[in-house]
Amino acid sequence: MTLALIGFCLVFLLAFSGVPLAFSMLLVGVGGFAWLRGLDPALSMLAQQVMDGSANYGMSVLPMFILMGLFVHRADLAEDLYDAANAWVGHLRGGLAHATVVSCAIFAAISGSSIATAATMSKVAIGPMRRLGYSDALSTGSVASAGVLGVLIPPSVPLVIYGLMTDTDIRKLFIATVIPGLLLTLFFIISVAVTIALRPHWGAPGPRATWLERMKRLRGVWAVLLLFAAVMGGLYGGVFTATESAGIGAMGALLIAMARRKVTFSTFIEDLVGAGKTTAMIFVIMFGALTFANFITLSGMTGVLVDYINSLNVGAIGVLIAIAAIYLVLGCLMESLSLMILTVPVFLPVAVAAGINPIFFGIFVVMMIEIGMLTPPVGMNVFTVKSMNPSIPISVIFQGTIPFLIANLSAVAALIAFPQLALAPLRWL
Amino acid sequence: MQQADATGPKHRFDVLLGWMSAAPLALILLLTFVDVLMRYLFAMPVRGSSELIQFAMALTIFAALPVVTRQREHISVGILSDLVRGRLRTAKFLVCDGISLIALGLMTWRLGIQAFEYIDSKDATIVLRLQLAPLAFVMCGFALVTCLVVALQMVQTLRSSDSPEGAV
Repeated sequence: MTLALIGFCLVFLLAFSGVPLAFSMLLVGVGGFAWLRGLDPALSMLAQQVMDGSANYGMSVLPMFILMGLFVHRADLAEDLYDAANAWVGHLRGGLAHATVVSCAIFAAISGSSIATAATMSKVAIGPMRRLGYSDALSTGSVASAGVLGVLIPPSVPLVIYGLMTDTDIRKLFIATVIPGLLLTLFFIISVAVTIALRPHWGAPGPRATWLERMKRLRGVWAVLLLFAAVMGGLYGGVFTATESAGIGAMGALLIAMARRKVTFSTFIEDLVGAGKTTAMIFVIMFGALTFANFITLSGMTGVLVDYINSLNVGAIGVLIAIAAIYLVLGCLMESLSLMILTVPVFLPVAVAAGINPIFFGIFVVMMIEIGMLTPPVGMNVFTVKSMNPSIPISVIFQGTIPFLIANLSAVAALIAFPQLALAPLRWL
Repeated sequence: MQQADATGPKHRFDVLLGWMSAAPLALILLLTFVDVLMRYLFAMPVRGSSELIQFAMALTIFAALPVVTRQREHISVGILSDLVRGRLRTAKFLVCDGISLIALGLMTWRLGIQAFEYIDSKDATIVLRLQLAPLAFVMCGFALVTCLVVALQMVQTLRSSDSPEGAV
């Protein structure tokens, strides 16, 4: 246990000093394993982790979903989505912020990344809101915050990584997000409504669209619905495996981008290279995390933690609240994906020992790490929106996310109180 | 990320390795799609497609690794490192790169050993009988290139009196 704690401290020390997290975990993992079992077994374990992790058919689900997200971004579908949502709710006070939340939720159904969702919607939604005199806090806060729906509504890259790391069925993970995703969308809509009720001047109503115009704008979302239906329908209809559905989704997104004349050979290559780089970055972290996790398991830390938690007699809810508190603190300091990869190997056995379902735990973890995307000082979604709108002070964007952070925490609280929100849809399979 | 000069060696390095990473990824995309189509339309899936994808995955990851490293795009936290300036900052870069080099060196060395073990054991895939040894050697080669990239970054940091943030 002491050795594992020293290991964790070393990883944090190295990482906070600027050593890439992947290499910090890899070195400490190998060092700790060598301390316990000898150098040769530690080094053999490292090579095996790298070979098994990279030359692996099942892992191809990850670059395919990443590629799908890049092609979707390239296809410029977000503008049509936003226009459609705007035609329906833009005439309400704060309607454009509602439209932002709704279009983020729909865009999330074909994109697996919250940063991509925030970046895309930032390009599309903030300009119209500013032109209509919306406050910068509401416009940027709604985009940055609703971006987190990108990873809660399937397909979700962090959930795929969770599934690959923990050997959990990706189909089950995806379907378990349905109700939490809709709930969070609803909570975000309520957040906008409450904000506008308190500060009516923050979001002026836009012009009312005619019914004919609304119907016309709906035509713009067919491509999104088709792609979502192909990927999810194939996955849950038993037509494709998760890996195949990711590949079909990527190819479908490419075909849509081509049909809309948004892709050239050079942008196609650019997206492939981008996906390759993201894949390499994630896999190196996974090699480090798996090596580190082997050391932690060998150290017996997990067993000691499980015994300790059992002795406290706090039950599943107590364990979840404790883990949520840790994620809230670490989420302020670390990038969300690396936080998840570092902590899941330790927390999952503890959660399972407390009687928590691993599928439920995956949804809970993804919701918690996404809160970290909005909290200072390293809220990545906030920085993404800031980079697209350099003239808006970062403090204003953080201020704008506060009502949505409350919504996020309320959704997590609802999930902890009612685990069936995530688990009930599993019965549909 | 500092953009490489559009005609310089850094740019050519990125382009070459970018293509080497993009090609296997395109193969995965195409194979997955064609395999599903062939299975449902002609009841004839592509033979050994999962093994080809398995190899392509490793190539995608390892070909992109030197580029990600050169562009300093590995995920890092660096809260403490942002507080230091001047020579301390240079020292910080040297130490962090040195530690990264040790980790990458270990990985390269063990992949090399693993490749030789595959030669002895003649490990191969089941359907297409693709030997694992050449794949492990290629992975080891890309990892070695990544080590060289980090070593060059350290040399540049030593030479540069300004912020060494820029990639080699």
